[in-house]
Amino acid sequence: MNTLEVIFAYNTLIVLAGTMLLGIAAGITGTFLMLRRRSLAGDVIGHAALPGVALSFLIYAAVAPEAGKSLPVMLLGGGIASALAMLTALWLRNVGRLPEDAVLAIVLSTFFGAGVVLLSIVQASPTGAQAGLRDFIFGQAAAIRISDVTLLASITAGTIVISNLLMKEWALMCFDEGLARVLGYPIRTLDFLLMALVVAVCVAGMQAVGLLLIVALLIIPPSSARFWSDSIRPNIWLSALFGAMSATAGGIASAMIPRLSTGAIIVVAAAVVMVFSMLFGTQHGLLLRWQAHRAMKLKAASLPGE
Amino acid sequence: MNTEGTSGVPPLAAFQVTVAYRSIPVLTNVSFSTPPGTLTAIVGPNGAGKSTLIKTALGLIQPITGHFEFFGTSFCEVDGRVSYVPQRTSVDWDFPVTSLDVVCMGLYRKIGWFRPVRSRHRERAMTALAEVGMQDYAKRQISQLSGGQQQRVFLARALVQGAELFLMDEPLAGVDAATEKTIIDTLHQLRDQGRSAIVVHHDLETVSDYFDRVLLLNRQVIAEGPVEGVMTPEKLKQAYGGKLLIFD
Repeated sequence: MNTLEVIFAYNTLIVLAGTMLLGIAAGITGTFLMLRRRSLAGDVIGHAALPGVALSFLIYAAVAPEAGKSLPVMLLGGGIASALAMLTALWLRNVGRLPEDAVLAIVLSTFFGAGVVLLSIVQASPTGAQAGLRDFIFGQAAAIRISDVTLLASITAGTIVISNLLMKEWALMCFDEGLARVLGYPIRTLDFLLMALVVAVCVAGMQAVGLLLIVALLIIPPSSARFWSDSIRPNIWLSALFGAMSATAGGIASAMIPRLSTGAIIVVAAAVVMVFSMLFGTQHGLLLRWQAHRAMKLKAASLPGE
Repeated sequence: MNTEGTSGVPPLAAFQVTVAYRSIPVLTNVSFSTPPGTLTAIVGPNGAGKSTLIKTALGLIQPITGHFEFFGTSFCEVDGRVSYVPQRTSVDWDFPVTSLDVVCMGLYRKIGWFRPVRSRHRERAMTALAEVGMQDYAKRQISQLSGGQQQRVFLARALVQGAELFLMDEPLAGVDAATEKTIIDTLHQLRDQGRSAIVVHHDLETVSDYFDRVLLLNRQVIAEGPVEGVMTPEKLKQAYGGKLLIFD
């Protein structure tokens, strides 16, 4: 098969639709996550899903030995573990005198460590070797099925609706939490909604991108968008576009080269977009800055000396 | 103009408020009350609890004991009658918003949940920006403003709320002379309309020119009342300890 045939094959279209939807949802959610200065929380949520995925596989295998693996059950397990990790981080931050970045690093590594332990138990079990849990770590977009696309489509639609409805409330919370609280906004609820959306995107993206690198799809596209605009709305839509572009690139690569870690390709694609944006961004691009600097220098040189 | 503010009910009163960070007391047994239509300066050395006092009044910090009353009732009940100008350093100025966007934030409660900002809201925000002489900077991203201009944008955001009491945390810290004059002129206009402001202030020399009343604070209320009665060498020495040199 040549490249075009691969791209237009039914299975490939499913994979492309799935990764594109995921890129859009992650780009939008990630913009608020970045503006809230919670980028690392996305990393914690991703990594912390592993013990949940492994444990739910073990429990399901014990309860229903003949059923094989169940994707919804594993995703649910991952989501619960992620949410638990975030609650643990919140609790640790409030209770102790530990700085926030230390708390996040502790929670991330502890949950991921527990996940790796559970994973070796899974792999030692007779059914576990073929469970394909490796795909949850590094991502395997080729595994996306039409049912996954339905799930991704509803999460993306939900993300678009919620972020449009709460655009100004979330923006205010991210910019000036003090004023938001004085104006009487329920910060806890707004915060919880945002983090719930992040967990949903992470869990939905686990299969395609993998839990190790899902944070990249949340954070790199909004960071790239920041070089092109100084207003929130364009930032969100550009971020969604960049996310979709990077994720689709990963999807194509995954469809063409079997056993390729899709997550890695997506991250590399997102990084390429980021470098391009850094150089050519029309608001804060380096080229623009160099140009302005040079013009300033020439102007200064042309001024009459003493 | 709403005249309720001048009816004699104090815009802000504190009743035996005590605040602590972990086990360290920051404010002890603070009580005071401000008359309507006055400008009050909160003055005291670093670490005296000035910002803490304002944040506790607004519910951003929970007191251990005591409570505040706004216009004779709790803060939750005075929806829209109180506005807050935080310290300039408390927000991220690289945030992707313009001056106009920031001022519009003061209208978010009036606009209501889920509704977008409309052009009539932007017009009101523009009027507020014009009141502080910032109309030409409406479309600027906020990191491109000077410190004084940023402070004026914050003031415009408070003005657009149409509040009767303004709580301001060091609005004059590190601003240029033009901004200082704009802010003080604006405060005096607000007072002439019967509104009040309580302002954390650090410059002892300008207190008597700018304000009517002073709350002298050092973890507890040292003195409170009209400027002449409070800004005396003895009381200042009591608040600042030996750290203050008073020239005759």
